[in-house]
Amino acid sequence: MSSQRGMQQMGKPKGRNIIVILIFLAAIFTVIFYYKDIKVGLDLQGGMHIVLRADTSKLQGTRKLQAVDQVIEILQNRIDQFGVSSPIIQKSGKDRIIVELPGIKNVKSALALIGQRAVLEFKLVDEKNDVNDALNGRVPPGREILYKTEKDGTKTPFLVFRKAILTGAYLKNARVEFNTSRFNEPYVSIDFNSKGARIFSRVTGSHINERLAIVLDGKIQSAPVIRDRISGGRAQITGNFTLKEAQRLAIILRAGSLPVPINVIEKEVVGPSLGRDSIRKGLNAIIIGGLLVFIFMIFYYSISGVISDLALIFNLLLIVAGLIMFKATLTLPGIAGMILTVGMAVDANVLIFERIREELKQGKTPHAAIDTGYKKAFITIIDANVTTLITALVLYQFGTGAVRGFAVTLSMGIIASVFTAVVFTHMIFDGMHGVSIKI
Amino acid sequence: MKFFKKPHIDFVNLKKYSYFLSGFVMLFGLILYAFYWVHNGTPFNLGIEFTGGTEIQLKFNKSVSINEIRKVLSNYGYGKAVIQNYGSRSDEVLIRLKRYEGGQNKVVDTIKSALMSMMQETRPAGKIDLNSINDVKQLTDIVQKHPEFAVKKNDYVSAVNLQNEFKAILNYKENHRGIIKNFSELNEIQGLSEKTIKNIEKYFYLSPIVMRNSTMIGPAVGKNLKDNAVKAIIFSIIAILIYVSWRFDYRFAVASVIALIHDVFITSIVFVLTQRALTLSVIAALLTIFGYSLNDTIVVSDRIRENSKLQHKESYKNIVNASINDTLSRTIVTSFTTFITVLAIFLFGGEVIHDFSLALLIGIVVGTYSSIFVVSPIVYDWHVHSLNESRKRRNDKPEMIKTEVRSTNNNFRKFKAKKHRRR
Repeated sequence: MSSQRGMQQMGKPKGRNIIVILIFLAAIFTVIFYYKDIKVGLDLQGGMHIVLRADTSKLQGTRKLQAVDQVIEILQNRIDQFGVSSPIIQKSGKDRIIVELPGIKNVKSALALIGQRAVLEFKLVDEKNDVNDALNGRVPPGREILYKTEKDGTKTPFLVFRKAILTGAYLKNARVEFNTSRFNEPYVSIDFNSKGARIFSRVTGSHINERLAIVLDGKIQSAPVIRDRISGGRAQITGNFTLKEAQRLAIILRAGSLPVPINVIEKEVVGPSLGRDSIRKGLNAIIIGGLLVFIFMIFYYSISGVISDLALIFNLLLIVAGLIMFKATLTLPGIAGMILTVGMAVDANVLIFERIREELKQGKTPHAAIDTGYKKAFITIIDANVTTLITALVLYQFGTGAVRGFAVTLSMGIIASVFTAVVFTHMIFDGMHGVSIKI
Repeated sequence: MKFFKKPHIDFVNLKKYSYFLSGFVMLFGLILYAFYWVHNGTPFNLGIEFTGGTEIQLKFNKSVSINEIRKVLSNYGYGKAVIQNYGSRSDEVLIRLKRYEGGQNKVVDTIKSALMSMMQETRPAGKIDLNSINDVKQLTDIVQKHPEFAVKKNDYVSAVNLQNEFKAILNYKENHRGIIKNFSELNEIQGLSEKTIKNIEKYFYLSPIVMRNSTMIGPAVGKNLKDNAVKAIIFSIIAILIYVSWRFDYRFAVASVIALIHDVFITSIVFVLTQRALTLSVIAALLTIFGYSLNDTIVVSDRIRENSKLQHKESYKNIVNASINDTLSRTIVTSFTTFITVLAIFLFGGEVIHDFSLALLIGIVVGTYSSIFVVSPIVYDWHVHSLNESRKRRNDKPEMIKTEVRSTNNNFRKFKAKKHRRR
């Protein structure tokens, strides 16, 4: 008779079992084939996190917001060409921009790329008036003193006309070329658009033998003498660049200059060695913590302990698969969150087992005890875990980077542990019905 | 297999001890807070994300004395900097300043060169610091000028080999806390040719100091973060109050919140006492304790509610006691497993997450204690008190049965029936 009842019971949970097995397979599949897609936070791979503030004080009304959007677009352009994997550029509030470059190892270069306003100007040099006079305080009207930094570090002053004859706005393109007559020294070759080319031709034609200063962000890069009218609309920017510097300048010029100055209000740089340390230590902690719980569960609950351990493995699998699928970022606190859920997931199992124990003591058959145990424990499990879920959600809402990573794995871990405790282990217990279970 | 036979501890009677203990610890905490408030203006050592400023983590190629560093820094006007060892390492320090420079590195560079001279090393002219380079492309770019590293134009094989050698060097550095102490270490790296090692020694030097982490935060940012942290805490409390009131009743909700505040307050005492940095992740840990401690509380409350329904003939005292005892083995087992996992993080998870795991560790212990010894007594006492109040109000009705405290779910009819059975 009990075997008859057994047959009935076997038919009912079939649907649930299939779903569980499908989810299990999907999780394993995701992890095995896509584990490389796990996004890793700054604290685990090193990198740079900057918050910039666009100084829109000189603009009015809607132009303020426009300027910020423009800045974001230009920065995005620059960073795209720089070739960073999964950079983050986001607007934050009215005038703040968050730039995160994970895994970046050349911080100085990246900062130069982002921080440089890149205002390119061409100004005529006033050689008729004396530079030294001007240095002593007698700057003629409409002129200014700008400096050129030489190879050995000294600064040469030049007296230039304040009004620029051409700016970067007239640029069509910028490329890196090599000066064959100078040990293949790299320089940046720029092309003006048609309007710029016309202006350039006119100016060079009427100022032969005068110097034209090429000014970048207020510093003179070079001030070559105009030998001839230049009608091709092409100019050279030289300046003792290394290849990297030339490439960077070309990128910046191509992307355009920033419409407003930007200030760095927050900067965090995590060295790669620190990131590597953190990964190593985080993994150690998971393995050790996990093993401790594993062994304890087997020791205390014997076979049921083994079942909970299986559920724990399933949990971790689900969390990792969840991270991959939702493209969430794994941080060091996130790893801690995973370890925490290992300890907490046991809770749901414990609740169920204790209930089943009580039911058994009251004299019910193992199968009935299991069923009732699960039913009664279910509500308590939900209640208890919802509260931790609530705080995890609050943490996600108000937290930043690393803390958010914690909130994410904690939430996923809770959901996964409720699922495995209630559904997965039930399935296994059912499968074991008829075998006397020592609980 | 079972360590606990069904226990029968009378927890309710122990409540005077638990009130005393909790009260004493909280009083101690308040005094501590007050002391540090008067002394420092704030009880906490707030992390840099809240105060703003500059914090750098420097690794030296040998042990250094904090006092010496402090002396050197004060010569440069940075006497107020907070200097501490990174974890237990004597060759790695954290330096924190209030000064913030808008992204420029002047302060950091000054400090670095000041400390360089303290290490009695100067940068050899013309050589570049290998320890400050982390990017293979950057390294390749730098050596281009030097004929020794020249690779024939179409010789891709040699170019790739050179790149691989550089990768190996940088990889080695990453695995050794970011610093190469001595050129002789290069001999240990697999895949490096003698020629490359010789050439590297020719054009590079090894700085005795390496910066592993730097954080610069402007003053306005910190205030924003502080506000967010406070909002997060308030939101959590409100959310929990609402949820628990909905699932149980408002008495449990208030008792739970009192227990939570008790837990977080006591955990924070450790941070005030040790003056360990209160960072955003520590606050995250405290909020997690909120949620986690509630777990235990709810399990016990659930039992009390269930037992009140089933065993309404029992006195409330017995119901509360039975509920705690029923759930005791579950509470202890869960706290134990969570504790050992957090202990693993605390011992093996490294410096970065040390404060976070410390907060969790304390929170778990205190949270377990409070679920058993704080929530139930409050619920019990409140229950008794309100029952006494309603009793006093109805005292002029003689047919009501008096004294014994009962569960509020009592069925009025059963009163009379019980009168005979009660001893």
